[in-house]
Amino acid sequence: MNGTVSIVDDDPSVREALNSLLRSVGLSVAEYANATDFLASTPPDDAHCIVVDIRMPGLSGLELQQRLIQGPGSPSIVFITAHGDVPMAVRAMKAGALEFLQKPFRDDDLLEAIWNGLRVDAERRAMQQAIDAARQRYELLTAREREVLGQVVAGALNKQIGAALGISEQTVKVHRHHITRKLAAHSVADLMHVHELAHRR
Amino acid sequence: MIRRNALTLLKQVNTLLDLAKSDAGEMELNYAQVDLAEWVPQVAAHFEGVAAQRDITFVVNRPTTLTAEVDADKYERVLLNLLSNAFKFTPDGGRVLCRIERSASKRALLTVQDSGPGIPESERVAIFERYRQASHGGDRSGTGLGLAIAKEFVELHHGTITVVPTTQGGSVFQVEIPIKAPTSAYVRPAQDRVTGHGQPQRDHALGPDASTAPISGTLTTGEPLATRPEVANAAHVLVVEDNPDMLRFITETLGHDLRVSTATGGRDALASARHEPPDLIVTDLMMPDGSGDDLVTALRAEASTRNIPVLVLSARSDDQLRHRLLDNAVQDYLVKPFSAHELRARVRNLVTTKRTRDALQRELESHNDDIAELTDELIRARRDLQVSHDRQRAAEDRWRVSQTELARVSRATSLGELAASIAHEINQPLAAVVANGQACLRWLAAEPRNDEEAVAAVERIVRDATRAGEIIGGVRSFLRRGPTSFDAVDLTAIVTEVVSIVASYAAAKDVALTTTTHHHQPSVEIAADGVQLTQVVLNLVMNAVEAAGTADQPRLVTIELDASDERRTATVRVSDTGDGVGADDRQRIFEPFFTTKPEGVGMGLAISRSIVETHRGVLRLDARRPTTFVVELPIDPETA
Repeated sequence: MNGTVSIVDDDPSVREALNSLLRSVGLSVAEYANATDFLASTPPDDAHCIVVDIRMPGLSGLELQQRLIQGPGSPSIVFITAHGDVPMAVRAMKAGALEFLQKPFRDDDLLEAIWNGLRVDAERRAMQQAIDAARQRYELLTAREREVLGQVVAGALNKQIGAALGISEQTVKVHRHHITRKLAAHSVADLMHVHELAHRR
Repeated sequence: MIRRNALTLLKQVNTLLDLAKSDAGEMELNYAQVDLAEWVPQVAAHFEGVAAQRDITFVVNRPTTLTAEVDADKYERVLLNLLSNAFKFTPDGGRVLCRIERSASKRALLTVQDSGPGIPESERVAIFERYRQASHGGDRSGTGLGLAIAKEFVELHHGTITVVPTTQGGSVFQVEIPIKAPTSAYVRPAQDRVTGHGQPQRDHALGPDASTAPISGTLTTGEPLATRPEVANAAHVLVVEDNPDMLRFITETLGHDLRVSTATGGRDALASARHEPPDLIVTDLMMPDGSGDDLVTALRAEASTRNIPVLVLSARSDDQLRHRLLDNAVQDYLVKPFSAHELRARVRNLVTTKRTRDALQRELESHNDDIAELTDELIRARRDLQVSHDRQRAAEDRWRVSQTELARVSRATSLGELAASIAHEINQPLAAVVANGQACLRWLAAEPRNDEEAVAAVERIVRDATRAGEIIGGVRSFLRRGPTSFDAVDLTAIVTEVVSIVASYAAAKDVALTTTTHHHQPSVEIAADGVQLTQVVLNLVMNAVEAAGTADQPRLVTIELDASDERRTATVRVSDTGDGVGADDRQRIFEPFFTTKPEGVGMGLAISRSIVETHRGVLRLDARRPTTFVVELPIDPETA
């Protein structure tokens, strides 16, 4: 699996070691000495997992997590810590961390966590792309077409739609034709899917 | 009078010395087996004379035998103190009772009862306090320490001392001590003590109250003149007379009970008097080789002969001359002719006066010696007092040091916190070592294998393992620093040395180093461990250079050295032009493992502060200037 791993740790030894380990399995690696530097960086285009030290000067690992989940496109987070701190781990996991590893850790554990993180991120990205595409298509629809689509996905027949909107059944059919073309749908199921994606928050 | 005053002063110093020792916890008891039934009456016997003098009925009650383990010297001091107080406050014709007995539960009870004015209830506790004297009756010669000492001594024996009024209005002091010493104490067997001598040895020359207690020792009172051997020898008279008949007459007249030597002229007489100063010179006034007048003048001019009395014989009855001579230089004057009886009487009178004066002079000198000796003893006692004070302070110092240590350890490192810190700090490089090892294995297993990456990983392993070792070393030196040895070190030299060490590093970072001295002297000498202080200054300056090195221009580190004679403090301030310690970090900057440097172990400031505190100094961040660290050191930690 391809992907980029960002290492956010104030300890350069740890960064270098992880960099080497991750590169040895073919991953792209970026290093950041603190959370602020990482937040200022441009996110990579491919699947992204960050490995974050909990205890850092300045913004801590948990604070970085809070910032990320407030914004869009939060990457997968794997925490590493030299402290065996259970309450901290619980907090991190509740906030959506994928893994909480205690230093020193086994490479298999770390790599598994990272791969899992990358997969989750890839899925998230794929989903996001689908949503974005659906929204773009949905934007093409006129106001009347969106009203008609709303009736369609609610399960109404053409005659019922025409009655509800005060137009003829024939006009409804024309609208449906345009909608199906604009949304590149082949079936009512497709229409429902795109509609749902476009309205997902 | 002088002697008495010196005695009083010395007594007070000794008493203070005891109190100071007792305060310093230095006072130890020399337990010995003592038969109190035998010994208490012996001590009490010292007061029989006073009792008889003042018509005081003095009764001593004792059992047949009462062997106890006590510090005889100290117990005696207590007894003497109580008895001397009892006699002091009991009016003439009164009554003093002293009783030693076995009380319940293996204790010895000493009772001293007087028929004095008694002690008001309000003062019965206070009289055992230092410098307290009963506000009524008695003289004021006491030091006010006697009862305080007695109480201390009794308490050292794990005993009690109490005072209650008698029905007749006097006071009853009761001292109760255990008959057995504590099992941990060494007790000398009985034969060392008790039998043989009535008065045990003293630690100090004087008892608790010199006015009534017997004084042992160093003072001699004047002895009767007759017993002095030199007085038994005949007095020596030098007769100066040019007329042989007259000379023979005088010699025969005086030769019975005096040693007589003769001279026939003034010059001979002067030589003889210089060689062997006589007790008296009898001289004719008119002589061929110079008048007797000239002889007297010459005698008076020299120190060795100045005090020899002179009796002048003259053929002339010249009142004017006689008056002049008597006024100036001679002691007596006889007009020829004179009777043998008259001459003998005058000579004997003069000789006796001279010998008496000599004896008095010797007495005076011996008293001077006594006073000198007392003064010496006073000085010794004061020195002992000083030593004792020093010990007390040393005890306080040890306490303070352990307080400091405790504060240091507990501030930085409640044990769990320290362990967690160590775990964290060691885990960092350890995690890197493990990850590098795993990466290395993977690089070697890769197709194609990547030796370059593998070697790089192994190099990092070596580096990080070394760092872990350094951290452990830092922890070790933090927890167990070597003993600090204080010597006179020059702070200026230390700063100069540090600057020379750091100079090239600072230059590489493009940081300028400047040193300023506010003190007017070229050197600031303090008592310190030079190596450790160098470590502190080096640490601060290195930190400053690193901080300044990250700044935009100007990059400057300033080391200020100052010494305040008034505060007995030397100050080193190390400032840089960097960003300063952030507000969040100021509380934690001295904690072990706290570091803002990526490569830092975080022990430098913690160790530095520990060193400075060992020197009784303070290491802090300047509250107003977060780029300045301040080291304040006492110039002499012993007096800090």
